[in-house]
Amino acid sequence: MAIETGTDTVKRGLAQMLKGGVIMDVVTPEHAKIAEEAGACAVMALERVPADIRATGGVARMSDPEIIVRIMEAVSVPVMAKVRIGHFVEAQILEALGVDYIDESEVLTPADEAHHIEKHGFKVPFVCGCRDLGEALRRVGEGAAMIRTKGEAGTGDVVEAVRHMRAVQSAVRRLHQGAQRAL
Amino acid sequence: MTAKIEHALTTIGVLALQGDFIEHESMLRRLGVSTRQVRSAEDLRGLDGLIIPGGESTTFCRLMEDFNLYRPVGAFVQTGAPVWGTCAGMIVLAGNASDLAFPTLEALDIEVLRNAYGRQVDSFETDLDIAALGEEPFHAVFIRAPVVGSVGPGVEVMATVRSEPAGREEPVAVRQGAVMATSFHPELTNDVRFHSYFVSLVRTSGTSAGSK
Repeated sequence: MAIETGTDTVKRGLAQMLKGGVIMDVVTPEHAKIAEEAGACAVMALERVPADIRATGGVARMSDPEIIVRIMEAVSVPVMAKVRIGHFVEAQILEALGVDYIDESEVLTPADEAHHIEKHGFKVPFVCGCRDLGEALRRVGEGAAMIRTKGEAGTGDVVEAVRHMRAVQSAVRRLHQGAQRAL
Repeated sequence: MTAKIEHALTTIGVLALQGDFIEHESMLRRLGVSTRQVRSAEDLRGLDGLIIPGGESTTFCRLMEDFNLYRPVGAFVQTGAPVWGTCAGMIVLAGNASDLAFPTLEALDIEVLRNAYGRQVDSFETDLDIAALGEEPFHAVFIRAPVVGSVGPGVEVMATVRSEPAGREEPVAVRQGAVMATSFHPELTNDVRFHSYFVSLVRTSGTSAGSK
């Protein structure tokens, strides 16, 4: 009776468990505690919230590992954390810390303009952002286990996220309904 | 043919506050059972059975409290209608859950340790021998699963997993009368045998709880 870990099923399985819930951005263990008590189904650790990244500028990176560990100790809900696009070493650090999900995120400053992280080799699942179905499928091809829309983080302008969601949903529906020849 | 018709008369509710309730519903539909998403006391009316799905247990409890569902769901369990909890659902049904800031329904005489198999990187798949489902092993998916720490005298252990470091056989599927719980997720597989087992439990129990 073999026991298998890090499979696509368990990676996607956690995403399925998060459905219908709120994943709350947090910077400190105190934020995480408040989010958990308010009913968040997971927390997302990042160095600064997107609005602050926009306001103060500079290079936005993965959170301090020490703070991430303290967040993991503070709450029992899954802890996610963001890494820079293409920064596989940040991802290796998060995997070693034992975070539950990695967000390879455009909210942080990209580390590689050509490539995203090759995610299949990791045991920890990844979530990535997208603006349309093509982008979503490229991330899935690289090993993402969960997809979110990008939006324009930190602006407060939700229409960007809605536009991306509409684009993905309508492309999925078109593929479902389109005639074989049209594909 | 008759079996199909009897199934059609059966309605099983799935607690739909958060988590993978849609996956449970599609398994039940494959078996020809009608389903209902439960978000209020009203939704429990006339149900023949209830599934509490996988998800985040603190979120479930927070929402059950905010939507005043603790009492009605507890009362539904009291009627003796079959109830099944998977993963977070097992935690909600347990007699006691470690490190949970909310009360449980105390419907099952078990003590559970939340996330005791470890974090997500330790989530796993394995084959289980479950006598109640027949010869063929059941492929089980465990996602940040709870460990059943102790089991009361009236609780039947349906399946166990050998925990790696301790080498101890830990219960992962339990049943006490009409209340059943699994720390894994049959709804994440293509194997309908566990859902089919629950449906037959519902059909033989034959009490339409909410109608009283």
